[in-house]
Amino acid sequence: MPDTKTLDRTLIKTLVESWGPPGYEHKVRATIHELVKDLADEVRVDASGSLICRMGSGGPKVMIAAHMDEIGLMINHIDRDGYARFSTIGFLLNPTLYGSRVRFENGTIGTIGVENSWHLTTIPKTTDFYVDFSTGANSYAQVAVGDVATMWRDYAERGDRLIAKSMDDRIGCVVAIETMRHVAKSKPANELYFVFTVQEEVGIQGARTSAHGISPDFGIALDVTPSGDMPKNEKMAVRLGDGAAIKVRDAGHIVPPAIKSLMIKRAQEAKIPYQLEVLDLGTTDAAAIQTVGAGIPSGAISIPCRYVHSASETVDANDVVACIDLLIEMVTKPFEVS
Amino acid sequence: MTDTLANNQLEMLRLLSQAVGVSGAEGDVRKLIRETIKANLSDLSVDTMGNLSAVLKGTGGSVMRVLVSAHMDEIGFMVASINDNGLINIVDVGVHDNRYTPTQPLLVGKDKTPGVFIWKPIHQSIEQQTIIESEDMLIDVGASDKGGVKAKPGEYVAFASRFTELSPTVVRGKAFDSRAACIALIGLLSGDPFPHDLHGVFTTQALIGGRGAAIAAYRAEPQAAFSLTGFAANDLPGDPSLSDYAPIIRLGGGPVLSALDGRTVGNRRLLEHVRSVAKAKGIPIQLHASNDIQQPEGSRLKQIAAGIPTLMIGVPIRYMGSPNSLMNLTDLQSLIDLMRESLAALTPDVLETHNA
Repeated sequence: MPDTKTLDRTLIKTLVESWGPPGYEHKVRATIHELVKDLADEVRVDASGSLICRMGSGGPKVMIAAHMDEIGLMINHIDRDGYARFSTIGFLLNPTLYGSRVRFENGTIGTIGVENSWHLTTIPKTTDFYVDFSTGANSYAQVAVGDVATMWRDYAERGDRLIAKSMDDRIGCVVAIETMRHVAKSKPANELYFVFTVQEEVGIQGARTSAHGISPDFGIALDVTPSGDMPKNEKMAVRLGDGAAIKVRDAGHIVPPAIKSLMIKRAQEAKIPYQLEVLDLGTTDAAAIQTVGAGIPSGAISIPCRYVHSASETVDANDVVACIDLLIEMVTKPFEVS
Repeated sequence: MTDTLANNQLEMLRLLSQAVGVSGAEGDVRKLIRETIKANLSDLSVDTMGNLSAVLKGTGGSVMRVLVSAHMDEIGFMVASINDNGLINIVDVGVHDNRYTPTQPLLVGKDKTPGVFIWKPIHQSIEQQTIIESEDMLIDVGASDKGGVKAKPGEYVAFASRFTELSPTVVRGKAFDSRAACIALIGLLSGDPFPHDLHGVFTTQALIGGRGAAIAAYRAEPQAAFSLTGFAANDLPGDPSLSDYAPIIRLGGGPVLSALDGRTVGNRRLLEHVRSVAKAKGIPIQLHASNDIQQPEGSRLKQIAAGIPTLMIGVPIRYMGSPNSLMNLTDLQSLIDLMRESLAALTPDVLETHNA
């Protein structure tokens, strides 16, 4: 099991700097595929584009979902002066957009500007923003209507605080991959399906179809959760650095008490720091998995994160390690749920 | 390829546009289509949701199953209650823009009794600045009391609209988003077979959540799906919203491919495939990349079972949803041509599963 010193920072940097807006996860999927192909017994891509990695066979089937996609935008018009307007793919926070940079698949970096920028008194509408990809007088980068982009910012570290544009949910992918590395050296009690899902940010779509295809007995989603430890924030008990967040509920999901209790039990047994997550907004892949087919009891291990859906999503390395430790406990030991 | 629609297709479009088929009561439309295609296709079926399915057997060159849907339903209303004074309360079926619904001619109930939405005379309503809510809309069928109304609560109400040719290429009418799609699918099913089986499904209840298509796709288990529909054109001359940034879909600009609809991302691989076919065949296309939802069927189809790669594709329509919308027949013919070419060239390696 890694600690904060042995946590694979290169893996984190590689994944958070990968490119993959909803529906266009092929590049980040190729990166993850390369990382996991020797760890799993079977790797395949399903019809929706999710990457499914099976480890072990026999025993209860457990699906572990971490989504590959990150929020982004799609160009819908380019005016005669070269400025591009866009539609959103996923929930962009308009107060974070002005001055942000976006990156297209071909590497082009665009700057988000806003009309009337010197005199803003209210939060602009999405249609007030534009992307500038000029390269000089009357010349422009190769961007066309229908092209998609994600937020762009380099990965950064400040001690144990890890900062990136797409901790949501590449840090969940990191937790999955680190767990796979551990599982590869042991013999799990369960038949594990590590699924790197698509299109979570546009309606938890990939997890739903993957779960239908796998038909697991249990589901665990790995995703970030907002933390409540910022000035004048909504009341929320989750704090950065206080450990893995065991989800109790969010806006789309009430975790079955037996799953929640098993997670708490496993955390206590292994002395893994944990906290309970009661979230009032948002949901995760687990909400989709839970209601597939005849019903799949599902829980979630959340990585506490500040500034979710901004270009500076911030997590704590200690929490990441705690999440990996807890997931290892959950998937390698019997899934004792009555 | 031909530039214009054949005469028999135009006549069918007239019949379909004027037929009544509000979401949940598509029987008249289904019957018209069934009569048209049954001579060529033996394998017709109607499922529990009322979808009409037809299979055009493939030549055996491919083991794929491809589903193409065209929805039959149009938006309308349903009788909620009848007042003692003979005026009828309604509820919406689908989403309406009530800025234009007052005074529209209607077909009311099973008997399709002519009626009209009331509107106060101008001297009584000149102060009114707000848009009337559907719950305040009343239908007048010329009855003086409750006993004079034949329609019962639960019966449907549709716009009455006469299909009209405005020019050799532009037609006016209602429900083009669904009925033009039906014409296109009839065209595909009536032509030469493709390497793969084509599951053509004329779907129900698309405009209230893609409900029919969901069930049809679950039954057909296709590897790919195309949902045919209409897209609102916003190419009005002099429209102030047509400033520098409004996304533009033009009448006559060619078929529209949906890269993004609401938050439904069109399947990347199918989008690339159809775009490349259009380029190779010289068929002009337009892209819909909007957070405004045109049609929910594509969103449903892609999430059925273990997932179905889905692309929505359709014709541009001015004043879409209104009983007097405009459509360009060349766009419709181009849609048929583009779909035929795209289906003929569709192979399993186009799909994501083969591009890991």
